[in-house]
Amino acid sequence: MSRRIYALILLLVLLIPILAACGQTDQPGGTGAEATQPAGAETPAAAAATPTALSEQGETPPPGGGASPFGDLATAGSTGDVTKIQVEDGAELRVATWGDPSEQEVNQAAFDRFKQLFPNVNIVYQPVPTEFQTTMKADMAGNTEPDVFYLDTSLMNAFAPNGLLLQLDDYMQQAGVSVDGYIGELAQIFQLDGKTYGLPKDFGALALFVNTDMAQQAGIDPQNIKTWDDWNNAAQQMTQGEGNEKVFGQCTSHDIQRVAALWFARGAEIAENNQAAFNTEDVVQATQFWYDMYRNGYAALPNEVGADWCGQAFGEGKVAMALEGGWMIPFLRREAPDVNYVAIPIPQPEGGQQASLVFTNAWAASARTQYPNAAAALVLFLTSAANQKPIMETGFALPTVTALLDDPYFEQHPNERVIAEAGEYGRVADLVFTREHKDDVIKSLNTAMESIWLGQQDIQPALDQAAQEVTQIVSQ
Amino acid sequence: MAVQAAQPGGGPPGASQSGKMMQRRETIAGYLFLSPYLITTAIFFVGLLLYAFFISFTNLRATFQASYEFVGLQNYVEALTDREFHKSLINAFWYFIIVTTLQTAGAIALAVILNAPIKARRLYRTLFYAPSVTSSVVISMIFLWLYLRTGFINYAFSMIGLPSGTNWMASPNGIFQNVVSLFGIDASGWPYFLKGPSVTWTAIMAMNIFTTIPTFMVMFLAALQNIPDQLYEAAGIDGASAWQQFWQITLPLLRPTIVLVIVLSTIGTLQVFDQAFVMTKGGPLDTSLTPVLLIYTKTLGEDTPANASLAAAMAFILAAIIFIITLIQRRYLERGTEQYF
Repeated sequence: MSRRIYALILLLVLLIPILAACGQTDQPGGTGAEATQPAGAETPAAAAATPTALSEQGETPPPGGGASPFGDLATAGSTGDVTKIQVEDGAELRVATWGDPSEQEVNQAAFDRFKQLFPNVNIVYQPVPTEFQTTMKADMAGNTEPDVFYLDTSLMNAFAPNGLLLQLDDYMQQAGVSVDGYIGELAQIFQLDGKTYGLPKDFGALALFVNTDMAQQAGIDPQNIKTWDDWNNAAQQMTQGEGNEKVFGQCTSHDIQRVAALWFARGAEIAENNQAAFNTEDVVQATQFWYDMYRNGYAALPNEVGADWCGQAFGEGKVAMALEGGWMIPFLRREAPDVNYVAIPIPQPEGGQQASLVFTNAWAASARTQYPNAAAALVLFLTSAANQKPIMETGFALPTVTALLDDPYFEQHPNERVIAEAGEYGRVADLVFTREHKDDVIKSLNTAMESIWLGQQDIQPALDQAAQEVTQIVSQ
Repeated sequence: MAVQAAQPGGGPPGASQSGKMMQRRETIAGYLFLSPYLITTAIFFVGLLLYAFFISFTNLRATFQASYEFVGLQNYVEALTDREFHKSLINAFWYFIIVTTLQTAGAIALAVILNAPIKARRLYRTLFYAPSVTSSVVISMIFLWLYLRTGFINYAFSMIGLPSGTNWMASPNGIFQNVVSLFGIDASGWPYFLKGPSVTWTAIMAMNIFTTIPTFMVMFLAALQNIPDQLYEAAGIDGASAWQQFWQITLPLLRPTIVLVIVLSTIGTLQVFDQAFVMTKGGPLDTSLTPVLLIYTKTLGEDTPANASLAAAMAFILAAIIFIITLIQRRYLERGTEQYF
C-alpha cells in the first residue's frame, strides 16, 4: 500500500515542474542571444530599427502649454485629442518593439509622456531586439501577444486578415484623428477593406549621402551632383587609394529596396494590372547604370570593405557615397561623429524624374487586448504630433504627420529636410512592391539582383526570370 | 523509445493468485513512474506530430488563422514542385554525402591514432573533443569571423600562396563548376545539381566536419577498446603489417559502430539547420538553404508570409526521404552485424 503512495508522491513531484513550465508564458522579451543580423542592414523596412542615438535633450517638453493642464501634449498638431478616449481604469498594457537600447530609450520616454496624460494606465515594456516577426507570430499563435506593438507590412499581412488587430477607426473618430493627417500614403498601408489597423509611427526615405571631405579633395561640390552622369563622374573621381587604404566612390547594393529607386527615376513600375511591369528597356538601363558603377570599380559592396551595410562602410570612410535612408543620420551621429557629410536628393537620369523609396512602420494593438480603449489611446498618442515632435527633435526619426512638415526644425537641419522632402515625392516601398505579396515580390527581385551582382546572370535574363515569377506571385 | 521499455510483464503460467496481484501492482507502479514522460511525449511530441500531419492537408497558413479548409494533397504537390524545396534537398544531399563520408573516415583515423600508445593521449582526446561540447551556434559565429574576406583563413591562404580573395560566405558558384572552369569549360548553364555544392556551402561543410569528427571519434574509441589484443598479437606473429592489421582486423570489427555512425550522421546531416541559420540564412542565392531551414522560414521566419501547412507537408516529405535512405543503408551496411536499432 505504502509503495503506491510513494509512487504517487514521486509522480506529483515529477509533474510539478512540467506544469509550472506550461504556465510560464511571461517570458522576458529580448533575451536575443541570436544577434546574428547585421545591424539593420539588409532590411530598410526595419528603418527605425537601425541603431540610433538619443541625443542630448531627449525629453524636450513640447513648446506652448495653453490652458489645458497638459499643455499641447494632448492636442498638438492636427492629430486630435486622445484624452477624449475613456480608458479603462487601472489598465495594464504590455508593449513590444524591436530596436536597440537607444531606440528603447526613445520609446520609454514616449511612454512616460503618455503616462502624464493617463496616470491610471500602467505600461510594461518588453523589447524584442531581434527576430521580432518570429516572436510576434509565435505569440499570436500562442495567444500571448502584447497589447501594443510595432507593426510592419509583413505582420500586417499576417494578422489583419485574421482579425487579430484592433480596429482603430472608432477610437480615431472619438479623438478626432484622421488618416488624412498623415503624409502621403503612409497611413493607407495599414488599412484593409477601409478599416485602419495601425498608424505610421515614423518614416525614412532614400537619399544620397556624400562625404564632404572626400568630395572636396576630389574637387566636387556635392550640391552639383544632379544627373546620373554627375553621379558616375563623382564616384569615379572619389575612388582613390590602393589595397587596404582604397576608398570607393560609391557603396553599391543589390538590395531591390535600393535599386528600385533608380528604376522609379526612369518612370518604372514593379507591377501593374496583376502583372510584372519592370521588364522594360528603361529598367535594364537603370540597372546597367548602377551595375556598371560597380563593375568599373567605382563602387564596392559593403562586405568587400569589411562592413555589414553601406552605412557602416560610409561611417568608416571606406566609401565616399552611400544610397541610404533617414536612419543614417542618427547612426552616423553615434557611430561616426567625425564624418562630415551632406544628404542630397538621388540624382536624376536624363529625361527621368525625381524618385525615392519611402519606408514606414506602425504602432498597432491586439484585437484580443483586455483594455482596448487604453491600447487604442496609446497607439493614437504615440503616432500623434504631440509625441512625434519630441522624437523628431532627438533626431531619432522623421514624423509622419503633415502638421510637423513645416516645423522650424527642418530649417536648421538641411539633411533631415532632404529626407523629409523625399518622403513627399518618394514611392512607399510597401505599396510599390504590391502590399499583400510584398515579401515574395521582394525576394524574387532580390534573387535576380543578387545573381547579377554575383556574376551569375546578365541583367536581361535575370529580369525576364524575375518578371515571370512576379507575375505568377501577384496574379494569385 | 523508452515507451517500448514499458512492456507489461505477463506472469509465468501457473503463478499463484497473489503473485499475479503483485505483478499487476508492479505494472501499475511502473506506468505511474513513466507517466510524466509518457504524458509529455504524448502531448508535445506525438500530439504535435499528429497535428502537423493534420494541417499538412489544410490551407492553415498560421495557427492564428481564423478558418481553414481541407485541400487534400495540394500542399504535397506544391512542395514537390517548389523550386526552393528542390534546391534545399539538393543542398542537403551534397551535405549528407560529403559530410558523412569525410567525418566517418576522419573519426576512424583519429580514433585509431589516439588509441595508439602515444604520450599524453588523454590530453589529446580531451582537446580534440572540445569542439563537440561547444554549442554549434558559438562555433558558427567563430567560423563566420574566420571566413571573412579579411579573415584568418584567407590570411593563411595568402601565406601559402593560395588565392586569398574569396568571399567565403558569398560565393554561389558550385565547386564542380569552378573545377571544370579551370579546364576552360563554362558550366554556368548546367543544372543546379551538376554544378555541385557552392563554395559557401562547402565552407560550411568543412566547418561541420571539423566539429563533428570528435563526437564520432569517441564512439570509435569505445569500440576499439572491445577489440581483443590477442587478435593483433596473433596477426603480428603471422607477419601482418600494421596497415594489414588495420584493414583486416580493426575495420571489420568496427563495422557495427560504422553502421551506427553513418546512420546517425545521415539523420543529422539531412536535418542540418543551425549552421546555415547562423552563418548565411540560406544564402547566397539559396545555395546553403537546407530543408529544415526552409521549413522553419516558411512557418515563422522573418520577412516571409507564413505558410505552416506547406511547411508541414515539406517536413513529412523530408521525414519520408530520411526514412528511405536509412532503410537502404541498413539493408546494405548492416548485413552480418548485430542489430542496433
